[in-house]
Parts: sequence; C-alpha cells; structure tokens
Amino acid sequence: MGGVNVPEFVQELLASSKHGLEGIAGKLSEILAHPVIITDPLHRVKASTAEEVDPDYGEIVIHLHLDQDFEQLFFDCVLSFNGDFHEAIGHRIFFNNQNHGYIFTLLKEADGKKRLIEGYESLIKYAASLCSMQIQKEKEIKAERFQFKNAFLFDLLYGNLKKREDILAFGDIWNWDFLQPHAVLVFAIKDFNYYSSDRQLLQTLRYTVEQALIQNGIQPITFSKQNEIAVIFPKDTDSKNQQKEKEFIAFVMQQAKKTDLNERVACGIGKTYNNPEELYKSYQEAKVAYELGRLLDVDMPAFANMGLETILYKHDLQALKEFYQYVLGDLLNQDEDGELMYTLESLAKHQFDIKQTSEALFLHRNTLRYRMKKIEEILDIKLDDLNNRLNIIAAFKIKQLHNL
Amino acid sequence: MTNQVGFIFDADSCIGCKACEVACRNENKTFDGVKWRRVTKISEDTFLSVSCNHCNNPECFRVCPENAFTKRYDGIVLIDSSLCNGCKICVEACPYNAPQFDPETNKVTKCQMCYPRQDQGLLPACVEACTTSALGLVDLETFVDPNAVPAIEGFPDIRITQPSIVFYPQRKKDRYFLNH
Amino acid sequence: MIDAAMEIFRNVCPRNCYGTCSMLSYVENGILTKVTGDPKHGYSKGHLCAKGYAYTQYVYNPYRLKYPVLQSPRGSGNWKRISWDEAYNIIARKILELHDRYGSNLALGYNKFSGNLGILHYATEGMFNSLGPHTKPAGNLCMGTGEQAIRDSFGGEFRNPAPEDMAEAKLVVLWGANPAVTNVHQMKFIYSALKKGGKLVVIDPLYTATAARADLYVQIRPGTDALLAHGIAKLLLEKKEGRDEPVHLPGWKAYKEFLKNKIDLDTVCQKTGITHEYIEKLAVLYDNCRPAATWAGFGIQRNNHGKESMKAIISLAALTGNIHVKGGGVYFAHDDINDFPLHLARFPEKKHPIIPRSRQINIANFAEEALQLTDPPLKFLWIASRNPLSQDQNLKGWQELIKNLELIVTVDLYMTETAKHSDIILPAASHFEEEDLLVGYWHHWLSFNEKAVAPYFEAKSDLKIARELTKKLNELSPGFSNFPYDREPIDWIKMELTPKIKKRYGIGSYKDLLEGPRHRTDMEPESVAGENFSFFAGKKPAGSDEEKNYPYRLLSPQSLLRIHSQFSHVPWLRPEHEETVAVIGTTLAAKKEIKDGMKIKIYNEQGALTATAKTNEYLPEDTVVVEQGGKNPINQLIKINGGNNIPESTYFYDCYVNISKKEGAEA
Repeated sequence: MGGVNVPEFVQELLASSKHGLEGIAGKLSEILAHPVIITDPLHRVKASTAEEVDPDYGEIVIHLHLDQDFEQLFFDCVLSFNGDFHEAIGHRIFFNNQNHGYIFTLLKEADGKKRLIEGYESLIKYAASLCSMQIQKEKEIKAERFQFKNAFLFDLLYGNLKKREDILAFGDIWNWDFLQPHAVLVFAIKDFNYYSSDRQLLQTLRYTVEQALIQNGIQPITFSKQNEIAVIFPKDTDSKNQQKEKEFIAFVMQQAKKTDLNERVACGIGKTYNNPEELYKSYQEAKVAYELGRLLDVDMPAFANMGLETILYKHDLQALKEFYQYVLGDLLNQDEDGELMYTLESLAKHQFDIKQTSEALFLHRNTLRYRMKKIEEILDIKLDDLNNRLNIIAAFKIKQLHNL
Repeated sequence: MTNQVGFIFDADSCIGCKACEVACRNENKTFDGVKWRRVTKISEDTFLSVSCNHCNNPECFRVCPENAFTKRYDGIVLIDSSLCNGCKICVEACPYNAPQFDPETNKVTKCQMCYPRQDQGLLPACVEACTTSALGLVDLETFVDPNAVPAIEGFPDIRITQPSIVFYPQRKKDRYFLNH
Repeated sequence: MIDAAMEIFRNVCPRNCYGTCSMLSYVENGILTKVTGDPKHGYSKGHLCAKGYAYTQYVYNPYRLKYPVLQSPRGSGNWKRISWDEAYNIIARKILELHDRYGSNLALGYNKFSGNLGILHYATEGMFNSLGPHTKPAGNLCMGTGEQAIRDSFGGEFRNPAPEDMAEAKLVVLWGANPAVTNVHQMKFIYSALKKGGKLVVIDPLYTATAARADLYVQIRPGTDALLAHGIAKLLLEKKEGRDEPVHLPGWKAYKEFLKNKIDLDTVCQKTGITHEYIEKLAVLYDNCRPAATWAGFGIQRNNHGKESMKAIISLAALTGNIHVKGGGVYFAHDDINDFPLHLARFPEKKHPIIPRSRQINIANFAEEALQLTDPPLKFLWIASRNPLSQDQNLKGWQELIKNLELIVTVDLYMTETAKHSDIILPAASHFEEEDLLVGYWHHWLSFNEKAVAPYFEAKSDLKIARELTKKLNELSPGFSNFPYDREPIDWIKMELTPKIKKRYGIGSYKDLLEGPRHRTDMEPESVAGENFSFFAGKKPAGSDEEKNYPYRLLSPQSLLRIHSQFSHVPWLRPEHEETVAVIGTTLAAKKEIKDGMKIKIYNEQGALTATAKTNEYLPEDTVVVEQGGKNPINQLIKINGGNNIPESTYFYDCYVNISKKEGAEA
C-alpha cells in the first residue's frame, strides 16, 4: 500500500492534547527528552515539565540573544525563573496572524541548538499548532462562561430577576452565597471619554479591583458597564457600618495609583441589603452616590449618608435657588471680593470649627472671628444658632450640586 | 453579550418637524395625552427630540417600589405595567419625562424603543421616520466618534442617570438680521 | 409589526403639498391601523411627515362626517341627517329649477381647488362640464404669479428640475421657502449637498426653522426680493467686467443696461434692509459656488411685486450660469400633470344652443367676482376640496355672496368653516377609501392610490358623487347630463395612461404602479433650453413702499401640523395652544407694552380678532405673523384691494394691520 505514513509520535501528540496544554507539554517533553514550558503571550506559564517551575505557574523572564527576536518562529533565548538561568529554544505559537504564546524547550548543557532543531523542527511546529487550537478552545469556553456569568450579574443588578430562588440557584453555580448580606460598590473612571483609549483603562481597573478582592480573601463578583466596575461586596451583617467597604476602597485606590489609572478612579457605595432581589437598588444607589460624591468632592461617598444631598439634588431647582438666595443673598450682594463667602463656605465645610477653619484658611483666629462678625451683620443672623448653621450648610450644598 | 443601544441626535439636522413624535404614536397607539417621544423647541435655532433614554443608571428603576422596571441585555429599559401601582414616583424621578402616566389605565407607560421592531431587525419607528437623519440608533458600547458630545444646551442634567443618548452639536453659522 | 391578518396597500397623500408622498397602509380586518412611508418612493424614501403619520386619526375621527346632512335654516346649526337619495333629490331639483328659470346652467357654479390633488378628483369639473355652460373658477390662487414669471422667462415652459438633484449643488439658495415646515423631505437632499461641501443660504423675512439650519441666513424686508436679486446681479456684473457674459441669451443687453443704469446699491440696501457687506457675501457665494440651485418659494410671490421678484431671481440664476445645469437651476413647481389627458378635468362641455361656453371667474377673487355676476346671478354653489371661508381673502365678500345663494352644497370630510355655512354637506371619502392616480408638482414621481378600506360610514368620493348625481339628474330630466356614469374609477385611470404617458413613466399598465411609484424617464437634458430663455426686461425696479393704511405687515404662513386648514381635527396634531397665536417682534412688544402670553387685538378695516401674543427677538418690528387655519382664521383680516387678475396668485402678504393690548389683558 502506497501513501504517507503518519509518524507514531504525531498520533501520540494528538492523543495527548486531550489533556490540554499539560498533556501536550508532557508528551512533547517525553519525545524530545527535554523539559518543555508553554506560556501565554505575556510569558505567563500555562504548562511545564521543568522541575524548577512552580506548577501553579508564575511568570518567567526571557532574555533574548542579541541577534534574535520574538517575531521569528524559532529563537534562542535564556529563561530565568527561580533565580536560575536556562538556555532554551523558543517557538512562537502563531495562528491566524495572532500570537497565542510560546513553547520553550530547555537545553541541557552541551546541547547544541542545531541538533534539536534539525531533528524535531516539524515536531515542535506541529505541537505549536495543537497548542494554538487548545488555547483557542479554552478562550471560547472562558468567554462562554463569562457571558453566562455576565448575563446573570446584569439581570441581578438591573432587578430583572424578581425571584429569590432563581438568584440563589444561579449564585450556587459559582459558589456565591446570596443568603449573606451584600452591598454594591461602584468604581468608575472620572471624566471617562467613551471615544478614546479610556476603554482599555477600564480593563486595568477591573483587574486591579479583582486582585484587591482576592488579596482581601473575597471571591470577586464584578460586573463592568461603560465606565464603571460594580462589585457585589459581601457583608457580615446588614449593619449600616461601612467600615469594611471603606477599607477595601482605600486599598483599591492605593493599588490604582500604581497603574495608569493614577488618580482617575472614584467610587460610590450602595446600601447593604439582606435580600438579593433588592441588590439592584444598591447598585443604583452606589451610582447615585458616585455622582453626588463627585459633585460634593467626597472621597468615599455612601448613599446611606447622603440623604440631604439626594433630596437637594432632586428638589425643584427654582425652589432651591430661592432658598439659596434667601440664606446667602445678602452676603452675595454685599461681599464684593467674595472673601466673606469663601470664609463662610470653609466654616460650613469644617462644621463651624474655628480652629480647623483658621488652619485651613491660614488665618489668624481673630481675623476669622472678625470676619464671622461681619458675616453675622450682613446676614443679620447668629452663626452659633444650629438652625442657621443647617441652613448655611444646605445652601452651600445646593450651590455645589447645581453649579450656582 | 450585553450592549447598550442608544439614540444619536444631530442638533444641526433636526428641523423640529415632529414626524418622530407622531410616528411613535402611529406605531404604539398611545393614549392622546401620553407622549413617549416629544419634540421641543429649545431656542430659535434648536429643537430637541427626547424619549426615554434607556439610561445606564435609570432612576425610575431605583425608586420604583414595585420593582416594575427591567433592563434588557441590549440596554432597553422596560416597565411591566402589570406591576405598576400608578404611584408616579418614577414620573417625578426621571429628568427626561420618560415615564408617562396614562390616566385611562392609571398606570405608567414609556418608550420601549420599539423592541418588538428591533427584535425583527427594524429600526424604532421614530428613527425610521426621521427624514433628515437627525435621529439615529447606535450601540454605545462600541460607538466611537470624537465629534460626539454627551449633552447639548437645553438637555436635562445627565449626571446620575447617564442617558443612552449622544449628540452632535450645532456648527457656527453666519446670520444677518434686519436692524430692528 | 406585520402579522398574517395584515394587508398592505399603496396610497398617496393627495394634499396640496410638495411631497405627494407614497405611503403604505396597514389594514387589519378592514380597518386602517397604521401608515408608513413607501421606501420605493424615491423622493420621500420611506418617510412621511407628522401629518402623514397621523392619518389613522384623520380617517377614524369622532368629528368626521358620516352621513349627508341638511341645515335649516342655513347658519342655524340645526343639522338633520338625510339619505343620499334625499340629498341628490334636493340638489337635482334645484339644478333643474334654476335651469328652467334662467334657460341655462350659468346660475350654477362651483369652487374647487386643492383639497385633494388626485386626478380623479377632477370629477367635479367633469360633472359640471357634462351639464353644459355654467360658472367656473379660473386661475391659480396659490402659484399663478410664479408660474407666469417662469413661463415668461423660459419661453412658455413651466418645468422644475428634479428636486433630488439639489443634492449635487455646491450652493443652495432658498428664497422665501421653508421646507423644514412645508416640504420636509427636501431637507435630506439639501443636507446631502452640505455633506459634500455645499453651502445653504436662506433669504427670508422670517427666521424660520429652515433658516436656522442655513450656513448663511439673510433677513430681508418682505416684498423686496427683486431689488436684492438685482443688487447681487449688479455686483456680479461689475466683477465680470465684460468677461463670461451670457451674451447668447436673449435680453442680455437690455438687462445689463438696466442693472447698470437703474440699480443703485445704496437704494437696494436701504429698501431691502440688508447691508452692503451681506449683499457682497451673497454675490461672492453665487460667483464662487457652481452649480447653484435656487429655490424661489411660494412666499415671494404672495405680494404684488412677486412676478418681478421671480423674474429677477431667475435672471440672477441665468447670469451666474446656473440655468439648465445639473445641480443648479431654478426651482418653483411644474405642471407635469397637464401632460396627462385629464379626461375628467377636460371633459368636453355639453353644447348649449345659444351660450357658447361657460363663464369664468377668478378663483383668487371669487367672492367679489361672483357677486358681480348678473343675467343670471350665481344662485347655486358647489364647494369641494376647498375651505374658502378659512382660506380665501375677502371673507366679508363671502358672507355677502352666501346671502345671495339659494343652495350651497359642500363636499368635505369635516365640518369646516365653509361647511358650517352650507345647506347640504356631503361626506367625502378619504384617499384610503377610493382609487386614484397622483402626480406631484415638485418631484416627478407617478403613484397609484389603491382603495385600502371601505368608505367611512356613508362617505363617497367626488367621482362617485358625480356619477350618482348626474344619473339622478338624467332620471329626472333625461339627457340633462352626458356624464358617463357607468364608467368605473379604474377605467378613468386606464384612460389617463396613454401610450405616451406609459412610455414617460416606463410602465406597461397601471398594474406596474401597484409595485411602487415610478419616476419620469424623459427629464429634459440639462443642456437644452436657453434659446427660449429671456432675461428680466423691466424698465425700472419696483419700489417697495406700499400703500400702508395700517402700520404692520401681516404674514400668514403655513403651520407645521396643518396644510392650510386641513388636519385641524386630528388629536395627535393638536397644537399646544388652541387659540390664535400672533408673533410680534420684541421691540414692537416693548413699545406696545405687550408681554408673552398676553391677549392682543389685531385689526384693520376688515375687522378684528383676538390672539395670544408671542414675542420673538428675530421678527422685524413692522411685521406680525399669524399662521393660517384654525378656529379663528386670520384670513378674515385679508382683503386684496382691487382684487387680482387671472392668473395671478392671491397676494395674501399685502395685508396690513394694527395691534393693541386687549383692555385689561395680563399675561
């Protein structure tokens, strides 16, 4: 019988791909009698037969020989992991014009590159194409799972799931316990430009938030939409205390500063709900808190603490303007350089604490007291009256919220 | 998987002809006093055509005591009128007058972006009706245009709700008025 | 949404409008449930206007007339339902009695115009012709003046370039035209020109919704368009300095002399109100942008300088090399319809032994001329497709005329101002309830109008009424009419589609039109013409100083959600304020201490009406604007002194009024 004989190791390799990249790495290593490492395009290890490489995979650093580059299918390089250096031959897993990763064959001392390539060039190429198929398959599965998960989170956060049993059943799929109270936190990129590279920043934000959750021992439940990442954040109790959220946010902000996100992340905290079918409210609250926090310059705005602001934001604008005029109108008219207004605004911001205000304004306390007296004269009120203070605080909030 | 269909409104093209507004009624047969879409003249130069904006952060959603609102994966916000108790809180909460109280049924209804048409691959009736292409439909998850802006003067405050609508502003023009 | 029980028909909006839009009618269980645009109609391209989308409410409407009704006495509001047979009997007996009394049908007259532009609606004319000599209206109150100006300039031709070609223009000049309100579908072709780098110029006394879209808007004093066109032409002539002059065109020399010697730019500036700088800007645009499409709107010929303005604008277009150029040209309207046989409109008049032919009166001055008729006087008036008591000038004359008439029959769908003053109203079918054939006066599409639903209650088409009434007449007096009342609508339509017409529209039979409207295939090549063209040949420019017996000029344009007085009963189109609104300039308002929303009185020698004031900073001080139609029609203040001549348009904008704050009026 004529025709082509398929070499046995080709069939063996094909069979090994049943066990994913691990299987391919194992079989290839066996045939070549050399350790093999398979990485993704970012050099993160996906599978390895080298003893020194942590099977839970870390990153390896690749040092290229001067005359080599990654664009070649085969290239000589030095890998460093676990503090050791290893000579290796790299092979790009290239498919459909896309780089899917690399196969590295570690060389033993005194091995020549030539020997390895001459005998097994086509074998490695074949293994690479099996790898690319495998990686493609994994991506698809992941995307499918992700889509399914995303759809569930969308429905949860938009109140489309009206029955608790449904939510609990879906949660079970990913081991999410919705019997526990949760609050929704929203992280968003400030001044997001939809039409620019800000979209990539959102990926960074998601990664940062998820890593922060893992490092805090929390299973990440995150959802991204437009310029924001929503986190379904587990709480021990449904208490109003937001300490846990705030610590976590502070941690995220700190991490974000190390990335391209810099200072561009802002957040909002929704109320805690026992019932998962009400979590959509927490999500909307977190977004409202985010917006109000931006307007009022609050770092960690929690919807639960923003009752007055929410009312002032929603209230009829004309009535609010009238109130603002009623409380501060005289001062606006008579304070020509705006100095007294600025002073009063600082006072309101510092709960009318003279010490704090004078420090913030770099003013001598007596100067501050003198100004307060003048303000009292103009407005014809006493600033130590609690009602007056409340009115003034509200008036300044109106000013901020509505850009008066 | 999820996306956000939204409107695109070119303020430089709209002539205020109200075809969108009436085409909506023609399609959806809304009660006389109920307008899912409205065209208004916001200045001598500018018209605005506004319906429900199927917000990213719908306030109607948050405030509804009956949890009657849902958001589809394509971003369309719907109200299940059978759950509506007619309390009108959403009517107050929406900056765009999108939820409309129907005195005949004592319930709120609103623009559903002609989702039955969209599901068949057709444009919403208002967009189809627009003879000047001032009103369009885009997927805001992927929409990119450096000339587009999130709001124009005269449009309600977009903060908090994040409406699914983008605008093209008017360009500068030369005017001569009689001395009067 | 389309489901199985849904049937779709092709209809055509027959309103007196530029669009003549094809539409698709969705019919479910015999009920019209929805109308949409017809994507096969190359002009409207699947869109309708707001009025079009509201048609279901026009068809099914609590105010629509269901049965023939008789009012006794006239004007009492005491209406009684009668059967069609009773109605025909009363009408026929009156016709026969008048014929006996005067020995002819000259005492019979009709007033019919543009309420429905379908070719079969000429059945009214056909019906009267079938009775022999009678009294018929002549002229065109809407566009007669413009039509004459175009015929004069283009050697008898009345043609319009394809409006779709405006998309190819580098400059679009809209002169007294407001398509954003009156011709919405044209806007997309204009925008298409803008997208390709073209410029839009609007010249109008009013800062309209169209003007707001223009790259350059120039406000002009009403009635001074001729002067502006002459002024621009003079500047261009100076620029040319003898180069590229259209010497081959007839009348060039005289026109050139006229511009040189009779046009003084300072006077132009003073009379038009436009600065030298802006006239120069217009000249530069005409000079630099070619092709330039100029659209002379109906507005500029609604005053007694209209003809000169039209000719001046056309001459300017010719001077700049823009006539008969693709993407250029002068737009106004066309008369393609006259190339059809129009068997109904031109139904041969039945011979009378003595009287050679019908007597004509000018439709633009109908009431006054009808009142002057003697021997016999006009005694019977048939009104169809018209609402003169809202839309004509000289409504006082109409009141007078009504008193002299023995029987007034109005055919309409609604209880209009005119219907209210009739003895008998016959309920008319809507265009969804009859077959018809339509060709527009702006674009060049031919459309078939299918019968989509059964007539509303007892409504009938003009043709059906003509058939039944003439049959009744012949029953009572054999041979009185020679109308072929057995002929069906489709037969009349087939007769209109002569081999020449079929060739023009590229169809084999009417059935091809059921698949969609068709465009004229034999548009005249742009290169032709010119040889018959002639320039403006005036001796001196018309002055703009009017005899003003009252201080403010009244302009009465179309309102967005109506055509003239039509559609006023449609709830979806109901304006926010039902009352009459008068727009006045802020300066005038301040002078008269009038604030927005205040009730004011508008008056002149014709009468007075109350309106709600709306101030506008862009309106010239000496102008008041009230839209036509509505419950309290503004036309009651309009009377054109001395009337018009056939075939001039009605000069609605030569009307002056005064205003005052209503006593005790507050906002």
